Amino acid sequence: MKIIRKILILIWQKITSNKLLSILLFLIIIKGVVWAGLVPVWQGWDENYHYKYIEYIAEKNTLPPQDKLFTSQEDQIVNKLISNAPIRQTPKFSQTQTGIGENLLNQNINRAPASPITAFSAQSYPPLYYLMGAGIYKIFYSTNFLVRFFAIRILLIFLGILTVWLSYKIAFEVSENKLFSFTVATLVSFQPLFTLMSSTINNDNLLNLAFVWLTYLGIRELKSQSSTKSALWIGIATSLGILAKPQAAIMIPILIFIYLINFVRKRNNFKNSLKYLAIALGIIFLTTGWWLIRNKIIYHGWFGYQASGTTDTQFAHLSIWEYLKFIYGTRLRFVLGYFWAQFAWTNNVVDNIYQNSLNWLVKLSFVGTIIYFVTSLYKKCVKKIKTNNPFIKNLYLYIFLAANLIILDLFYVYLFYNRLVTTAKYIFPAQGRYYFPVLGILAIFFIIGIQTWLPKKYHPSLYLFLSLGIIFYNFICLFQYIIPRYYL
Amino acid sequence: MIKKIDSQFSKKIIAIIFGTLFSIFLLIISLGFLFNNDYLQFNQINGFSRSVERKKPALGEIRGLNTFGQTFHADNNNLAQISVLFATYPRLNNQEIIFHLRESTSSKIDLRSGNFNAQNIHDMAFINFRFKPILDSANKDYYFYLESPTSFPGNAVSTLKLDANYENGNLILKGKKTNLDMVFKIYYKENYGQFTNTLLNRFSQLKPFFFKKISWLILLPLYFLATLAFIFALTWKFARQQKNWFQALIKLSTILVIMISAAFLVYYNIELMNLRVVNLH
Repeated sequence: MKIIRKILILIWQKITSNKLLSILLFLIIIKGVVWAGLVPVWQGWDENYHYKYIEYIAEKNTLPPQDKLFTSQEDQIVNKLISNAPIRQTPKFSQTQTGIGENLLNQNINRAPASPITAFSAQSYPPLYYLMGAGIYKIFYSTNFLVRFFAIRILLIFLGILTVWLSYKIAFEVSENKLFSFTVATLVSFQPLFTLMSSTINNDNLLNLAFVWLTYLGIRELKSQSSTKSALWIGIATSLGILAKPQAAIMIPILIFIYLINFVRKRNNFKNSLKYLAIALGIIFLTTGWWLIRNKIIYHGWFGYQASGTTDTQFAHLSIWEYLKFIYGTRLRFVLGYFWAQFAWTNNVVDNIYQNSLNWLVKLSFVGTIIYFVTSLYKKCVKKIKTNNPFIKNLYLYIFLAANLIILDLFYVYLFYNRLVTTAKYIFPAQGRYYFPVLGILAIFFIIGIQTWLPKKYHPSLYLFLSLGIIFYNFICLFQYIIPRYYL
Repeated sequence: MIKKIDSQFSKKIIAIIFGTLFSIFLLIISLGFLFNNDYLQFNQINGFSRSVERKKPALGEIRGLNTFGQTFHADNNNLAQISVLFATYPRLNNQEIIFHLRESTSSKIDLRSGNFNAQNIHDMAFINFRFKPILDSANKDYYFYLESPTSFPGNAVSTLKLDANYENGNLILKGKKTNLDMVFKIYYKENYGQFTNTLLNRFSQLKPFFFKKISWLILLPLYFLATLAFIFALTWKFARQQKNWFQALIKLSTILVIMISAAFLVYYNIELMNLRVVNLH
């Protein structure tokens, strides 16, 4: 009892020490629950496949085979209820006749996965997120599908909340300004597609958290002396990512980059740098090695079974120049569209005026960010000005954040090029959500880029304007697009 | 000291007023979009809008004797709107199209009719044919069709084939019954109370017990209240950082005015781009 009392007192102290952050986190919980409840079954990205993974673990107490997808009697009934095509919702029953379909789910249904139907790459994802989902599934084992499904959605919202909290912490470390940090946290949490992502079942939620955690630890590492403890945490954060999604392998170069900066800045000598790096990499090997080796033995690839994709010869013989033109034309439009405006697979796209306005803001901010870096480098390195302005003083931290962004983007470009052009085997659509691991960083540069154009006295007004703006946009997306799409 | 307290107090009052104004504005915008034009007081009974995908085949040009119609069954009273999905091939078409609503394919009397120009049609977009409600429409069959005597090859629009089977009617091509269906939606006029009730019922469809009607009556207001609390706290933090209450007042007023202007511009733009309603008589 005493321990519980102490924990409650500690939580209360935390809440009252930063009321605005507490209110924001409470709001994010409510928002997450509302979105989780309003977005119908299967309407997240590949949500039915992610759920099947969880279902298999919970029902069979083992990991599913990666080259087969299983279906159960319950899956078939659910698919029948929502439509014949599980991804696009075409309700069989009139939405006004509440309860008709649900009765079918309360009968005694066989949930054991059976009858392999086809292969799908979600089965080859690392299992950590799905194990968490399976734990919740087990808690609600005796209930019907709808309770289990929505319980998993709701209880895993905490991953998104932690992502927002860490984004706030990162922003505060680099800006030392509370209003700026709240704006970053608000931009992240109210980004409509991030809201959709964190309210639905998808292993990206764990990847986003792991990535943002590594970024935060990286900043802490750069600001203070390296230690064995911090190397351990860095290793754990990276492992978390790798056990969530194979793309998290890109966190290893970032991890190396952290120690490289500290070595260059003479905070660590060569021997210590190697020691801490070895500790972090050792932790990663200890926690993820079993998964990689298992994949190599059973599926002949470190990252598991790779489903063969469709052959698309349209891009197969592009030269590098043609390819680059394609990347920064078509791909950029594609990414921005999916970043701001395209809700999952629903063909639910917001009106052009929103997209165009947001894209213009992004362009304005991009140019502003370049100006910020050039002028700050000039002041810091050429003029050698000593200042307390955190945006100049902490320039090395902003360079680290930018490096995270660039490393991630180059990785996607590499995948895009490798998959689409070199092998022409599998189209890798770099959707906006693939940038959610760096959403906090994007928010930081988005604000910096715009504030570069304004005198300093207007910066607080800008922060408030952007915070309110993203809240409005989030509400508009829910009430103008999501609800009419599914319920009107 | 008194001056300082007064200043803090004034800023707090300003923050409360503007926080509330921002929240009211947010509420109006959100509910406004939900209850506005197309959806205002209308209840759609079928789920066809959800089956609309870009790959649906067009049925062919509506021109000359090529008329396209659909029979359907009305479940409720107050039938007030029929929405039809059009394709433009995609090109600029500018001929007149006539919409007829009748009791059956054999009837020669229009219950409702009206014409509009094809240049108002966007490719793969619904046109909403709105008319004075038919009070006793419940449990009756109806037939609507589209014709365009002046259209010619290369200057005509089309409707789209439904990728499913509508059980209570058929597509009628040139007056002949087929086994196909058109992509269309039926709406009935409802008052605000009925509409809200319908909406809450739909929110509860295929949801677990904790997302049934009563939960939404708690969750949605709670969401608005939590947002209001956050907006107020944020505004208060901002106001506190200002030199005096007057500066806070000026800056918050400016932000509010910019936001309202932007909202009006957006709304005006969307309305301008969506000439989707055709009023019949």
